[in-house]
Amino acid sequence: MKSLSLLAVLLLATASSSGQELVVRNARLMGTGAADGPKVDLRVVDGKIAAVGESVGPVSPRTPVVDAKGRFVTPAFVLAHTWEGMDRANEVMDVTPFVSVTDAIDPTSSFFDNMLRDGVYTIHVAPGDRTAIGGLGAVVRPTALVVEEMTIVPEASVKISMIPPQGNRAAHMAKIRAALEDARRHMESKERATDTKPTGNFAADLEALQLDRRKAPLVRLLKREIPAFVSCAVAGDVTRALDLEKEFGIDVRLALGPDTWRAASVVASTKKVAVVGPRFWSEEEDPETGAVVRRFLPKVLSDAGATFAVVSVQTSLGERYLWYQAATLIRHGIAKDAAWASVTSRAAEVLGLGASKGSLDVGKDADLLVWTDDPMSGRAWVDVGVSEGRVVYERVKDRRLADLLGIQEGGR
Amino acid sequence: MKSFVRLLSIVLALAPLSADARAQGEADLLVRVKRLYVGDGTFKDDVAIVIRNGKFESVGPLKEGVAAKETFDAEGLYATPGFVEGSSFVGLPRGADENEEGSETTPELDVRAGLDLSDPEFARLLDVGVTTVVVVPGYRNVFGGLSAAFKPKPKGPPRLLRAGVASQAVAHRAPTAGNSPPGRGFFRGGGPDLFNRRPNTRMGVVHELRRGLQEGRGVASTEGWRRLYPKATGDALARAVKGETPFVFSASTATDVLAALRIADEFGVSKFYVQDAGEAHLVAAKLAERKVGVLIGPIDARFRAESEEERSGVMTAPKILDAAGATYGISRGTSDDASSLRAFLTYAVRGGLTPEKAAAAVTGRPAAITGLSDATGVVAPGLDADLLLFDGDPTSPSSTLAVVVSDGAVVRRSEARK
Repeated sequence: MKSLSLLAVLLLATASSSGQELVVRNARLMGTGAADGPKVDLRVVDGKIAAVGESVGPVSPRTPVVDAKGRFVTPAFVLAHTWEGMDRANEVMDVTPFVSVTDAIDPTSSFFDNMLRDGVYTIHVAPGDRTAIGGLGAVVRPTALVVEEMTIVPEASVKISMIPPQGNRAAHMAKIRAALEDARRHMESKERATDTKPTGNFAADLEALQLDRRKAPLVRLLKREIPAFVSCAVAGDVTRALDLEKEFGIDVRLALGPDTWRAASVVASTKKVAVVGPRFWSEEEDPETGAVVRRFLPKVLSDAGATFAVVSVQTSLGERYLWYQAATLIRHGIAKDAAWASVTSRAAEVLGLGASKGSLDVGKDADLLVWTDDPMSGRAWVDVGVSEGRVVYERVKDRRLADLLGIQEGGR
Repeated sequence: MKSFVRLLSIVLALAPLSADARAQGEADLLVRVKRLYVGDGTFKDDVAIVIRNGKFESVGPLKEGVAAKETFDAEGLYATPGFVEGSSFVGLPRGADENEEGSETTPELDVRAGLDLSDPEFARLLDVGVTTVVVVPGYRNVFGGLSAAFKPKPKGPPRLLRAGVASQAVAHRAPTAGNSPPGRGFFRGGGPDLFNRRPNTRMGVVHELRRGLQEGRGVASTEGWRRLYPKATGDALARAVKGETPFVFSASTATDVLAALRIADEFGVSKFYVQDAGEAHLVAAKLAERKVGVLIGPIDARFRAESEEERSGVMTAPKILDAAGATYGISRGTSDDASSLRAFLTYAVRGGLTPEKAAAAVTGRPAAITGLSDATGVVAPGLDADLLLFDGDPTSPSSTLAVVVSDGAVVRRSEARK
């Protein structure tokens, strides 16, 4: 019995190391790190982009080939921050760093079904904005039906919200500070009480400290092992979030609502990618004249020199698609490259996955989409979706989409 | 681009004027576009549009020697007529709840009487390309009163395009909102009164419709009825029954649409259309067969609406209505980018409609359904010069709405690009 399972393990190991290949032919690249141009081939080995160019070497007859037929090929989208895909976005208490979205993600929800269809293959699910310290977020792919198999980064973030669900902002800030100070005291007392010297192995060191499990996430935050994603509704929230960063030495990634536009230069000064959306417009009424001034946050940020990723939301008109969000940026004066980056490479960067996700450069994960039309045209659908070198979505086999659109089998 | 436009205007001004052009003097605007979505379901490529005195003067190949005070002819421009919003609550102080609640049946009221013309939402509609908007009374009454069409202006009140566009009759459940059956309300045991009104169900709403029309028919035919019934109310109902004022039935579910058709049949109502019909596509064949105009919307990038009562049309609804041969328009856009008529245009195309038909569904079709096609909705000589210019195909969400022309005047210029 033992030898049999050993054999199975060996077989699995050979299968994964033998260089599983996929070739995409005749791609018209768009919004990639590589030079845009027609008729390019891509070779994928072991889930990574191995070669991009006019010739990617000989292809064995056993290698699966996706013929893009000169159609647009883009990197798959990266959704930098969402509270969707869970049963509930928030715990009812104010400070719950010990909960994790891993325990709340519903792989069968229509959200993940849509993400698969819409070509969003890297999704950062984090607790919602109604909790001061909401818990742990995770980065997942929509390509499996079990959370563990979906998971790319299990503990990707600690969610903090600067938006008080009740009471004023001073009290809210005090709550967050108290929780972080408490975690710091806990960490320091454990460190004093432990004889073992730090080994450099983070997990082992934390294990050696024998931390209170309920406080471990905040300790890891304080040790900068994981970043904080901090939701900000107004400009003051941004400066307060950066105060926390300074006071506690944590790594803050800003998630900005439209009314934070006054802090654009502060955001730029962080030199980090911020998360923006799904709403972009700030609207302010002059109390004296009644005149309404509307500001488009991405443009304000871009003019101030800040970089950002934008996010979508399923529940809103239009705003459910990342390509629509990117098109909205272009429509309001953001350069096309920057707009595309905000839903691909910038979004990967904000998650710390810039080296593996968000573009079609050689060496990165083969997460790519073959489109039926220009992705910006509004009428394009993902035709073939590839996640980590595996074909995970084919429109012709999407019975549900066909039903919804009233398409006969095999037709457009 | 600006300097190019200026240069071109100079060149055109220096060009020898034909006798015809000299006689008429300079036109106000000359626009040359790569593609014009005409608004009637067709498109024309490489056309020049000449605008004079607030009206379209000509649409077609560029004639020699036409000079204009201002010219737009940047490369790759697309044009559509100004968007026509066929059903809106803009300017109503309480929106959908704006009704006189003394009675269910107030067809004699005119929406203009309660309208706040200084509502900034009028001007904001211009930002998203709406140059004509039909304002309808609230939905709390079964017979709400007369709607009116306005043209928003960048400063000051909108221009009244037409009063008495249609008499509103509600066939969905909105008039029951907040009503409770006698004995369960705040004033227990009482019959219907100001705080405890009928109806309470869809059946009740349809009953009220029937009762009102019965009375309208009576007033229209006999003196006896006229003496019995309040004059203004009776006259207003009689006018609608006789077809002097068109009816607009507000209907959300397919059931509501069918109820409206049934009621119209029973009382021989000849002139009417249907609005807010989120489920119209489910009865598309019926609407086509009856040749009844229908306004759907808002439409949604989702496949399924969230709640039963707030039904928004699905992305594929325009295509389904089109395939069935129905007369349809898309309405209920807001000034919010992602739920504007402009966005609905994109969704309709995504749902399978051709771009030229989708453009018609937010311009010429709603204008025709609401009876405004003698004034606006299509780019044709003699009609109001309401025109939108885009820097790319307007059905693509990445194209910028660059210029808005209302009654021949440039009212919006985008600074977003270049």
